[in-house]
Amino acid sequence: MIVLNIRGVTKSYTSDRKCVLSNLDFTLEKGDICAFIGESGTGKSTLLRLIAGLETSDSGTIILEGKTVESASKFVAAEDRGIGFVFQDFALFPHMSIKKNVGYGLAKSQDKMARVSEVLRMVGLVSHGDRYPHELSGGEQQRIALARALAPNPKLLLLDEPFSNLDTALKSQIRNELFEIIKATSISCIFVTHDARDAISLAHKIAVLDQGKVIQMGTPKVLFDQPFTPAIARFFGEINIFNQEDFQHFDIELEKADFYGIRPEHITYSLTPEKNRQAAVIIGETFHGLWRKYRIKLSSQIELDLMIDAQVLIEGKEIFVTLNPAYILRFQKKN
Amino acid sequence: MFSSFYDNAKIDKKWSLLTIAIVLLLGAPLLTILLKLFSGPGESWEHIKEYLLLDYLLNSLFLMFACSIFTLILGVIPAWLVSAYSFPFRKLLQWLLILPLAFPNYLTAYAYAGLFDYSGIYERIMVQIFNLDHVSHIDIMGIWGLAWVMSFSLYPYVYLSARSFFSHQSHGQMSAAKVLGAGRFKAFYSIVLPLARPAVVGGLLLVVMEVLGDYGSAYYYGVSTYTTAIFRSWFALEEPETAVYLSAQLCMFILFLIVMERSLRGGKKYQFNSEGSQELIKKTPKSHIQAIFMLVTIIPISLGFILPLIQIIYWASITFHEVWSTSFLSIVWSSFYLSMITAFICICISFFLIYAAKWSRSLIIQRLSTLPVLGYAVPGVVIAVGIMIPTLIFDKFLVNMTQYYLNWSMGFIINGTIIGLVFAYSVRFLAVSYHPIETSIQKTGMRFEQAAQMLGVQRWKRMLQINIPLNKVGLLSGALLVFVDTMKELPLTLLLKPYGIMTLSAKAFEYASDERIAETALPALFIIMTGLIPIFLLNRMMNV
Repeated sequence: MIVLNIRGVTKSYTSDRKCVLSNLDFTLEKGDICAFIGESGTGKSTLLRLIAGLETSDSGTIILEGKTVESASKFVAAEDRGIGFVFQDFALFPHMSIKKNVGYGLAKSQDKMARVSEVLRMVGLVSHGDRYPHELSGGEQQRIALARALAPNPKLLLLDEPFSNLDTALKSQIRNELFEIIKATSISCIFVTHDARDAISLAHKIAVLDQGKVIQMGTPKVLFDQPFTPAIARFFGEINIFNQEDFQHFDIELEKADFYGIRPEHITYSLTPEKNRQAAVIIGETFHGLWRKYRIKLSSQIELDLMIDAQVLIEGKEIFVTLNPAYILRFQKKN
Repeated sequence: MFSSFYDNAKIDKKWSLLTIAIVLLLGAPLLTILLKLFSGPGESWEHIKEYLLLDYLLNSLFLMFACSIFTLILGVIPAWLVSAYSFPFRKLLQWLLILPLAFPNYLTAYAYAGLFDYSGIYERIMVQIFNLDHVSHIDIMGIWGLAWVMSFSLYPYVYLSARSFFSHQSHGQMSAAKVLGAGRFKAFYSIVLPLARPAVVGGLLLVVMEVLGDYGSAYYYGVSTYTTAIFRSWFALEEPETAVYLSAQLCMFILFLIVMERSLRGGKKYQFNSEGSQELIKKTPKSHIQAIFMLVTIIPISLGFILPLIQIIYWASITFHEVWSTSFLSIVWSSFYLSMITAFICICISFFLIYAAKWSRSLIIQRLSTLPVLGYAVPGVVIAVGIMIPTLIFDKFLVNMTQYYLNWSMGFIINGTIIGLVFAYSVRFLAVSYHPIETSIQKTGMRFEQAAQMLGVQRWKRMLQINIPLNKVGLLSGALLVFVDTMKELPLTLLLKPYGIMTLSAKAFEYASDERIAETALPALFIIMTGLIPIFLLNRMMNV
């Protein structure tokens, strides 16, 4: 079942008349977790706010569970859409206790406190109900923000850059905890992030936004293995890009493309000459913790990055490299 | 425009229409005045034009320019000294310099009239303490005296805006000038002062608006200005058309000044980086220079606050038994409740307009909702005249209708009632509450409102449970500022107060008009004491 259907949505801001979203189409199946990724200013957060009803589009239609919530002739206010939203800075009401924050969206009923306890238990903070937001750590505030959004049983959950306000040390732990909770509720969810690691490890589906359009959508594996453009490929990690002419130096038979790419960790090397390998000289080295990245210059004058997990090479040393055809990515020029 | 507004499903019609209604209601007096500009003056206009207009015009312009120059000197120099130098009692003097704001300028004028009277404190000190046989009398009751008095009462507007700029925005520029080898004085006049111009001009504009809107001081000092002319046309000549015509001209002139100030600011968009918001490092000069700086800052405080206060306390002590009575307490109560009601209405409307603009999702509504703050620029007397005309028509219509259909003769609802007076106060002082509330809402941001919205909570509940509690400091300071301004307001009160109701400001004016100047002291003290409260708060806010 389709939970969210977006058709031809366009949005520009009157201040600079810049088109943030341009004729965008998107659908989300029930129970799916989808990540919107893209550089800053590509319209990710704007799209989330349009879905929520916090902003209005210039044209296009947004349909939520079969009901039009925004079109040229209709606009359902954010408070009437039944969507949960976790804000980037959590936006917990500072003058209300945690219990009141979590219960704020629930109608007065006998079950209200039971539901508050239930969601607090779900996020593991049932003992924190009487505290105030400023008394909690960043990670705890994040979980309360999620509990508050989940309490009214929304049709769809939206998270705006949910991890950008957390310390790097805490981030991966909280990221996993948070999505365990979301997966347990089987709620349909969209989150936006500029960190591809969040998207790869958490989403069922990733949509890449560029200049106001979804330029590729698919499972994390599809996007990682078959990115449509060098820019998408770069989003998931470093990559060496060659044009057709440069690629011919490697003497590898592959279907024709305008550009080819290979990640630095997929370049094979040896210290002695071997068949079909090109000689290269190491011209630079950078330290990446467990990994070392080497800048190498091939005999054909092409420069590449090579990533290996040990410091076995030194600057000026000659090595022999080849590209593993299984890992070569092919890109076509945009029409 | 209207159809595109009405056909747009995404614009919230209910809130937009309510906003338009409020803006129209608050703008009605000003619109009435401006429209009357085209319908021409009354019969006496020719006489006024022939014999009096030049006098009104020259006097008003003279006061405007003289007060601008005086307040510039009195405001900018102390502001620079307390921001850039360290000297004894600097912190105390820095906030004492704001105190004249507690005085409405007509009270400073009364006090000065007393100080320089034939048997006033000045002459008695000269005779009794300095044993002078003959003291040359200083006649303050003229246009020069008025300019002097008003400048000492109004310089804090310039001082505040200049000080705020000097102490928080000039650090980066000063450092750069110093590195390039400029001395402190050169850096001040060649770099900081030109950059401070928009801030200083903003302060000066407030001074000019107060000068042009003044009635109490000019009337008592016998100086004919545009504002006194409006009163005279209405009451003495009994010609409302001419009063309205003069009001419209005054109004147009002030709007012209506002546009000039905006364009001056708009043309020079100086950028200040975050580093520039550091406080200016203060230099400690030699001790004799420190003494001079202290003296320079003490002069405006003494002449603008301490001297008039001494005069008023002296008068209050000799007239206390005469003035203090149950009827006086009822005057205090009237002033108090009128100010309370006005403050409450102003914060409600300001709060509504700010949020409704955000909710409406219409750019036109957002622009429209800021228009009512212009009311503060319009002199009280103009607003009063602008309110009398449409409300009189409305009330007469209502009386005729009830008479015709219900055979019941009712009185006026707005004209000459508390409703009319509070309405006028609200038109005039909305901006006073609007700005602190707007600042507070900008600081809080819309995220809590939107978080509540996403939880399915409807507007009124969000207002009561989220937005009001989170902005309560802004709302309270807005209310307090309106309260104090309403207590001080004179010309509007004189024109619109209902029969049988007296306020502290009107009572002080009445005593002064009856040549019972000493009796003005007790109502004056009440007004000044109330005026001191927001000054304490303002100073605390500026030092945070």
